[in-house]
Amino acid sequence: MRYLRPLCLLLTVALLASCGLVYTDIKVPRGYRTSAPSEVKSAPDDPLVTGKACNRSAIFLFAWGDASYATAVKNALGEREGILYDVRADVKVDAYLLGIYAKWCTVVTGRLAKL
Amino acid sequence: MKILLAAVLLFSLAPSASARGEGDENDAVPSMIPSSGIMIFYKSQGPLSFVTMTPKDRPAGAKELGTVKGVSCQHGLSVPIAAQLNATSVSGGYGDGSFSKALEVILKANPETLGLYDVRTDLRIFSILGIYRKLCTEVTARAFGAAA
Repeated sequence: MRYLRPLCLLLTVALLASCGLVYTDIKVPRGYRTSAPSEVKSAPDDPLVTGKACNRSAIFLFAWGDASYATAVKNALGEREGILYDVRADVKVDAYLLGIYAKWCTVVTGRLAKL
Repeated sequence: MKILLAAVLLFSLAPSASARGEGDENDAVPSMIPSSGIMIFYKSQGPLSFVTMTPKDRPAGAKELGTVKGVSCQHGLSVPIAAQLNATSVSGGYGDGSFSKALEVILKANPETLGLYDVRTDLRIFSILGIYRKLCTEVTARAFGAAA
């Protein structure tokens, strides 16, 4: 019991910081000013595309990954050339066993217009 | 113990609150390198707000320069004074992780750039044992230049 308090404190700090206590190298989204349909060459048959980018953490000690907007948009575009509009950005969190393994993803969904 | 576990579970949702977009609201949230304990030195710049252009703002006939990227970083050091879990630490922070610096990097690499649109801004958080920390601002955008 003597070590329980500092251990819980440590875990809480780790969770709050959304990073690993020993090693962290993650990317988090900050801002993305997206386009409205009137701002791009939009067409009714523009495809709806989705891109996901994720950070992961294990045993509260290690955190790694890239959940940036840049990567999510890159994944949504794939090989196609174009620009996203009517964009929705969401967060998807999967945590297992009290967060011993956690995955935190940025999901970008939008329509793809030609440049 | 149950309450403590519930609190830990609740806090595990905290990361979802850390992603804050830049909408049309009036609040601007700075992203500065954190400092803890006894701060002995701090000289740092971080991103606050950046109202970017959309394709509509691009001048007619502007030359498309493709996707560009600029990174600027702040660094921090936090050294525990004693070998205890709750020991205080001496800390410091320095660097220029501002939007201005990131844009300067883009302009340096792409001197033809007149403006940016479709801008995505992200933060890279790097930390080893919480002693050394790095917080980088990454700006990814499409650039345009003068009409050909």
